[in-house]
Amino acid sequence: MIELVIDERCSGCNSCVEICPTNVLEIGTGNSPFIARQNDCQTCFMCELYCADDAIYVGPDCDRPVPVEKQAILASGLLGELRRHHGWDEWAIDSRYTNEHWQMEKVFLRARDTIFPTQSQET
Amino acid sequence: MDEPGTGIDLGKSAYTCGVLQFLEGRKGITQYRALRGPEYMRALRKLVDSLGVTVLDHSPALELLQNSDGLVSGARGIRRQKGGDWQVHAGAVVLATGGTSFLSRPLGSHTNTGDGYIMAAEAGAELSGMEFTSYYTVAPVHSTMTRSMSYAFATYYDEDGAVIPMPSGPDTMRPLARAMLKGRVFCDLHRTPEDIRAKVPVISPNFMLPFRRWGIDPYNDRFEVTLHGEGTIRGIGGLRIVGGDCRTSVPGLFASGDAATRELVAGAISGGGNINSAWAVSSGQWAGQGAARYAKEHKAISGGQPIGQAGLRPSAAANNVDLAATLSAIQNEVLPYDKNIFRSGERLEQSRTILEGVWTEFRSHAAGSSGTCLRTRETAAMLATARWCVASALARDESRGMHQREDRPEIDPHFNRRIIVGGLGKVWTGRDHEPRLELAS
Repeated sequence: MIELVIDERCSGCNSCVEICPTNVLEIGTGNSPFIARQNDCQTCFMCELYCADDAIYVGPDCDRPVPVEKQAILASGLLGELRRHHGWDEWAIDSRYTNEHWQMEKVFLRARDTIFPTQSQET
Repeated sequence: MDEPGTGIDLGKSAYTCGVLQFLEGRKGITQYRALRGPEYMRALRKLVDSLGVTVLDHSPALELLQNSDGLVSGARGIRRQKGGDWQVHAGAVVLATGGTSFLSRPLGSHTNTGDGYIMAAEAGAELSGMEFTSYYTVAPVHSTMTRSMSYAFATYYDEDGAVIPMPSGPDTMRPLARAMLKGRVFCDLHRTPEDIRAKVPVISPNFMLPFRRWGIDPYNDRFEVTLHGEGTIRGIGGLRIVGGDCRTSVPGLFASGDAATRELVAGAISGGGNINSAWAVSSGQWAGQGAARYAKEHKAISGGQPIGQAGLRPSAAANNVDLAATLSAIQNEVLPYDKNIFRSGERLEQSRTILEGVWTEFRSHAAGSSGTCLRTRETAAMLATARWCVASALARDESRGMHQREDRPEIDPHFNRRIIVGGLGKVWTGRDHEPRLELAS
């Protein structure tokens, strides 16, 4: 579930308020939006993906909030990781992060051939 | 495989087809299949915006408008960020409301509550294939990360650390569910080849995310897994389609994506993320063209009336119906492995009786206030959908595809037909005797 919107990183674009499918965030009175309904968070990570400032941290636990230390998260290198791996925004020109989703079926075939080699030779 | 490795040395030339980018793979063949969810959703939105279409964000539809001739002529809903309602009178309506997994936890599925099914059924439409709703996807416990690819290399262990034997072939769901009915199940991915480990982030960029944040190395550490029910998301039932333009049997009403049955492209098995995403984009085009053509031929009629019933307009005095308890009651009939993966006529009958009781109470009294109106209507939709799933699973008195009845373990040729289901006050089932529908290719 969403745990942090880091004010000093946030540019106040409010993309996260718009993209969140379950309407968790609200435009705040200050610079950054705030987490208004954490319990509605479905842990889809879309707010992180759409945050060009890398100012949002979503915890992987979808069943309950697990509070985190802001300083620890800032130091962790985890902020912005998802957006980078998706090759979005400034990462679009970086060939290390090109979308190779189409390789998925080859991975399934490799699994079939390595885990069950006998069967795949028979079929 | 005619070559070692994953065959990954791309020329890196990217082609843009409209707003979606496709890569050229080996042998100069463009790969028109990189339909990764967030990317194609973003691309479709850009396309829609570039065409000047008005989009109402955060404005879920609650009900359809229908005129006295039975034509669907618009829809109505709420604006949850801007406040107030919206109502649109239109020459035709396309339902693109998705399916439902009954708020189980597949990634990104929490707004998929089957709303389009109940809206269409209120207009008189029927559904098809609702018995094919027993597919489950593996994920680390307490996570939404239903990314199945990496689990092709998984080794599973029981609580004592013994390896759970898996049959050869892709069907690991049933043996996993059997093991989970006995106790906790753990997993590691140590059999994954190194070159594939290196490629996982660019194929499934979110797969490693929970592990990294939990400090787990899935290739060496064992982690506990669960199975999330997919309902009609990776299951394939939905609104019955009666024409190549994705029309339903109700004039002016069209369906696309998971709102529609995917038996037409997947048969009785899961459409997975692969067939289903291709279907979403294709059926959206067909339905859009069909609706546009229909609207051109039929003048938009402004006299349509809102027709929503359960959860919007109770049949008796409104009182406080416990939404969380209702949801639990629904989930308890359609998600447990011993009821929905390993089905039997007797257990389905029990589920039917329980769900009828819940429905009677809910239909009579549930009415949302401003803060709860959406969740009330969503709960009505999931409840109606659960009843159709159970009725269809009873009507298909055999085992076929993902629908497996322990009391009827064989395929019965008498059931080489689609099971049709519909009705709200009284659920009915029937069989589709029409000639096989040929969709545009």
